[in-house]
Amino acid sequence: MAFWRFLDYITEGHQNPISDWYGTLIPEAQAEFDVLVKTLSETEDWDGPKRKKRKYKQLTKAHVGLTELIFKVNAKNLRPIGILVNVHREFIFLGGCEKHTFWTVPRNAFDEALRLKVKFEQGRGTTREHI
Amino acid sequence: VNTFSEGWSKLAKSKKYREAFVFSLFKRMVPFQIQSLRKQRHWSQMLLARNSNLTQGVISRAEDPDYGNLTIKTICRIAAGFDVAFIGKFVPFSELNKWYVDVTEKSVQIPSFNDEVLEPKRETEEVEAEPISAAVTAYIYQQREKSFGDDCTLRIPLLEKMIGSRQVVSIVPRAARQGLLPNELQMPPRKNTCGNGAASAATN
Repeated sequence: MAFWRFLDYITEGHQNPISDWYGTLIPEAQAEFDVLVKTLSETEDWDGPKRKKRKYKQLTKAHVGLTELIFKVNAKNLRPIGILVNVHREFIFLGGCEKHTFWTVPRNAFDEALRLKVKFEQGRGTTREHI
Repeated sequence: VNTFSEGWSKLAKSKKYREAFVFSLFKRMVPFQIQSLRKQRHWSQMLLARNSNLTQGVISRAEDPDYGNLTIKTICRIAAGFDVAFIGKFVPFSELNKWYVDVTEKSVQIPSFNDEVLEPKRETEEVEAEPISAAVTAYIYQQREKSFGDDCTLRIPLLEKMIGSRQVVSIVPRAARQGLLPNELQMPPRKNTCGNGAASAATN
């Protein structure tokens, strides 16, 4: 039994934002993402490594409430975004992006994730086990 | 996160994905295992470094899943530090996928060589603990009285020779400490004597 569960948020329109983003990644990034999720699901304490080396970050300011997972492929900073539910040891994916200093690809990925978070909290849409 | 068939269908997508997956898995799973083994033993990076004859900085890098430049030599030294084996083995993807699906923090926590060797012995001891006969124990105490008084440290090597079984000898003091010996096998009360000469004088 894994320590952490990863779930996909499914919108009311039956869209799966993390799966859609995953589909745009190159195979190297897809593999890296899959193994990252696997190792995190089997890691009890995500705070074990020093802060700079942790594989997740809880966002602040405009995007407070969101959490990003952190990995890098071919010098691109890739960030799956979601909600970390510590109590239930769950991470609910709301989307993902390539992060640059002043913008993301796709554009406004964090704002979009925040919008989905609100919908999720209103009980709109569903979740399903991440594959 | 993944079942075997889900993992398999991803691997079947493309050769590029498979290549990247193997690389990524190796890059992340070796640090994951090192961290898990260290956690299992409650060791600091410094202690592992000392046991592996490496520096703490090397261990820190070895545990960094993003480092990706670990050498075979470093991995083997770390394995030696834990007193476990490391096998770099070519396997078909079915085997890799099965391992990947089943891998957990607990499953990668493995015993050192010493723990592996000593553990079955302890189990045997527990099994053997029951059938110690009164005759054997009486014989042990008789010999002890004759030779060494109550000095346990002197008694044990001798009894090992006499009985030819380390298991029986180690059980008796342990069982006595835990108050598990039946009444007829309890150690006789300690005499107020000092030294071997006094002990043998008393018994003679």
